[in-house]
Amino acid sequence: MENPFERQQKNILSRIIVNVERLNQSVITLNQELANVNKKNKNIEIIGQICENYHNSTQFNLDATGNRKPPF
Amino acid sequence: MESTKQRQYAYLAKQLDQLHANLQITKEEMETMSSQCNTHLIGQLGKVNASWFIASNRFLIHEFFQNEKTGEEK
Repeated sequence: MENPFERQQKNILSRIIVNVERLNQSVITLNQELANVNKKNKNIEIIGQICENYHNSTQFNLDATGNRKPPF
Repeated sequence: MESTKQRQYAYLAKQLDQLHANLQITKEEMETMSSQCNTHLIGQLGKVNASWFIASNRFLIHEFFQNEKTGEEK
């Protein structure tokens, strides 16, 4: 059975393919930029971990030596 | 005629697979970034340093007023 809308459907399909290809490229670029951001944030993450460790060790030391005072 | 459409559908299927994979990667990156912002930046740096600052301020003011009080009593 001959489809009367064959040409139109092909045109639409090819336009969809072009747009999906552009979308894929954009998403790839987005992923690369997100990876860059995350790589640059790793150092800050380490500093945060250092602060938390220091805080935990000071709390433990205060509790162990009995120097911990109640809040004002 | 038919082969063109089949080719187009096959290409579209491949593109949608790639899109699915890329969106998975995007989701993982966003989860990493969200955990970095919420737990590490705010929770560790923000909360810990803010509590140090406010606690030291309160302690020093408390000590200052205590010293003033003992100074007045003398």
